[in-house]
Amino acid sequence: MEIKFNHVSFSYGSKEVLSDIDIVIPKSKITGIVGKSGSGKTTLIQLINGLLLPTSGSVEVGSFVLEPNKKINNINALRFDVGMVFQFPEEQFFHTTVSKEIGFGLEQFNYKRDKKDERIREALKMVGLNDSYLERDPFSLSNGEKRKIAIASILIFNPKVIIFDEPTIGLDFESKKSFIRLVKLLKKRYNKTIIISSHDTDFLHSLVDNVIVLNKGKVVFSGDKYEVFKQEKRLRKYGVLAPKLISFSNKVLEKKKIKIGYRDEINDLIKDIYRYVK
Amino acid sequence: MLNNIVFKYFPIQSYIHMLNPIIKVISIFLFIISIFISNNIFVNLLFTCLVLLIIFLSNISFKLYFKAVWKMKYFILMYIVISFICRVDIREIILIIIRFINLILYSFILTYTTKSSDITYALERIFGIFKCILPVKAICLIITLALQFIPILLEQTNKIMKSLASRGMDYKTAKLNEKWRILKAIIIPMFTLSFKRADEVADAYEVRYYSLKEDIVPFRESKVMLFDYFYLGIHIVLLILTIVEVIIL
Amino acid sequence: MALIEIKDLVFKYNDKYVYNGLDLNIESGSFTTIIGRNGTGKSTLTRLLVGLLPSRGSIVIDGLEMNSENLNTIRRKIGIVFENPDNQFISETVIGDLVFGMENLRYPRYLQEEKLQEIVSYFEIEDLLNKDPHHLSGGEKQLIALASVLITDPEILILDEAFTMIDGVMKKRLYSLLKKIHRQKKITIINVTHDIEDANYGDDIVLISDKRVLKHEKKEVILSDEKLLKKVGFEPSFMADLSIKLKYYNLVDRIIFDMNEMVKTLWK
Repeated sequence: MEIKFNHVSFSYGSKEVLSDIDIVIPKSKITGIVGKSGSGKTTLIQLINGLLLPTSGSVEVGSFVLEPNKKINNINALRFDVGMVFQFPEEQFFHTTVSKEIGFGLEQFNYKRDKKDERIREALKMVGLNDSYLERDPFSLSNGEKRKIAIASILIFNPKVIIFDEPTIGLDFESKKSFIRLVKLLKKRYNKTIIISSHDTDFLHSLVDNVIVLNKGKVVFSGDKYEVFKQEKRLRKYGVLAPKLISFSNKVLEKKKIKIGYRDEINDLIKDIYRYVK
Repeated sequence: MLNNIVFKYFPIQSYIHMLNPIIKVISIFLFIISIFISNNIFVNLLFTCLVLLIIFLSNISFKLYFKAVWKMKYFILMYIVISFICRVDIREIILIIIRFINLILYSFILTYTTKSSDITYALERIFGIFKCILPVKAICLIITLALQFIPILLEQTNKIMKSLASRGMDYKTAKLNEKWRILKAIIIPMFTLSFKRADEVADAYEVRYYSLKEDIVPFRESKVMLFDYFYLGIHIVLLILTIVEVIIL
Repeated sequence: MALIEIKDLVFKYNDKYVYNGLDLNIESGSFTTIIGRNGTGKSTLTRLLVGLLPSRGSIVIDGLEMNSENLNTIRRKIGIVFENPDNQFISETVIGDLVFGMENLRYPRYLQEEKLQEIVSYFEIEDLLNKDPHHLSGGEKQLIALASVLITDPEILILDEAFTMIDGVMKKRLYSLLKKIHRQKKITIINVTHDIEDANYGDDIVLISDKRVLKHEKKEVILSDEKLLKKVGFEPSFMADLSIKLKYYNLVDRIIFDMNEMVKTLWK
């Protein structure tokens, strides 16, 4: 499902939070949205599933068109196709057991309710948790486990687009790794369109295909991951740190005028360094 | 929302803004006593003149004050209707309406020109005398926290409702019985998050040496200037005049 | 005698042991990063150190045993910044927050003025003074929280996941400030975090795993011990990892934390 922003602006009262956003989020790819806090990331993603409507311009999400002041009759159909996992898991838990929590979306959207128990187990398995979690209280779990339950709650109704708002805050290394594996799987095997809003560029670098950079409510530049991340000084101006893998290659280029290439993995970087030092 | 309309503080300069908050709070008490003692319409209209004068000195437009009073129109209307039905004397009705408007306007003067932390500070100093009987510091702490966290809790509610909406329960488009279900649903996360927050706030206060029993050395200087004495003086005179009026008439 | 001595610490939560005999010594003037996966009770440890939770076992801070008698004296020596900036604000203005601790400690007014001036110029926050702390960015909020805590000159500064929610550039700035404070004010810093990259900024690392301290060494030692880190569920930080792998090819001979230095060393 492709997502298009056509000259979208959003104001909160008299304050303009987003101005003239004109971008395309390609389907079946993983797109990262970066920008320092306050740049408008959260507002941007909430315009995609209709939690907010633009004050000018239009947002096209598949066959849905979101315009100012236009009421959408079947807003639930949009939210069925565009799932959102929020920043803090505790803000999206409404039940006392994990199974009720995960099954909630299924009930609401009236999707394969007859296969509910089976799908709940499947969703748990997808996020790497076993059936022992079913009767536990979501609020009693660790941070990493909470996030997994939140993700499972969205995966269960199989949305075409999944949006993650700051998914890695408070996640330790192992949990980050399993999250990365999961998202790559969602894209490769299930062809989902994934959007991740984060300020952790190292994390995004291991995952995304393209990047959109926001500053003070405007898209300052966007494009292929390497194209965006290699512009370190520009990113820094907007309060964004380049991924360390990219930063190192830039440093070598800057200090020694040697181009060692931009890599996704540290082992590939090592190979390049070895080649160029010898 | 509530915070912005009723308790909005306008951070500008004016004679009234510069007044010592303790003087302002004592003055409003004197004012309230005065208007409730007096049974004379003309005396209350005199109070209205004072209120209008203070509004003028507060450098905030009359329009804003009257807009706020206008929001209360239903209360006033309701009162008039009930009084009429109960055959209350028309003089009495007018008196109470004038009292009501005086009270509302003066309250807004206070909240528009005084930071809520200053009001709480004044309350703490004034009621400090009753420290032995009442838990003054605790009460003021509750007021401060309530005022401070109302916008935060509203934002929290908003976030929770958005996540509910993303899972198919949108309050804005829901039918009446669904709306009820939604309100029930947000109770669990609201309670959990609020208690967690309360825990963290309590910890923060404790490690920064807050004590419910001990007295503090306040940073702010409580200066009392000539204009403060004058302002307070006017209110005292008004109260005396009112008492005299009641005795004579 | 170390500044903080923890012996045989036992703590239970919901009938489960968080710690079952933890020993830890923190030397005065050190900058220690305490690292452990989520759920290893790191936040519990910080709360135990400031006496917000009761414990079994002994905690001795600057020669004082942690008990109800010494609690206030011990707290006076410690400043702590918590993870969530929104839940640490006391006042509607930044000034109100900065002076809160001093007011409670009954500093005379002239001293409050003096200390305020000092901290405001050290942190360069003149322009933030009259703002509402809730309207600041996450990084600015933690900056103010830090200032509010340091204004009363604690000997020990504890950061409990304080920079977890802060974005990249601001985080770097805050850590530079922290290092400057450590250098100039000779304060003992304990930084509790689950992010191994944060360990680059301190001197020592304490690894918490399995309800106790697994290792307490200089950062170079721990960050280069891949096996140990993997066992605890971590990976060496980027520069440490790079150094280890390059060392294997004999291109460097030690852990280098600074990128500039690394480039210089590789291409002499």
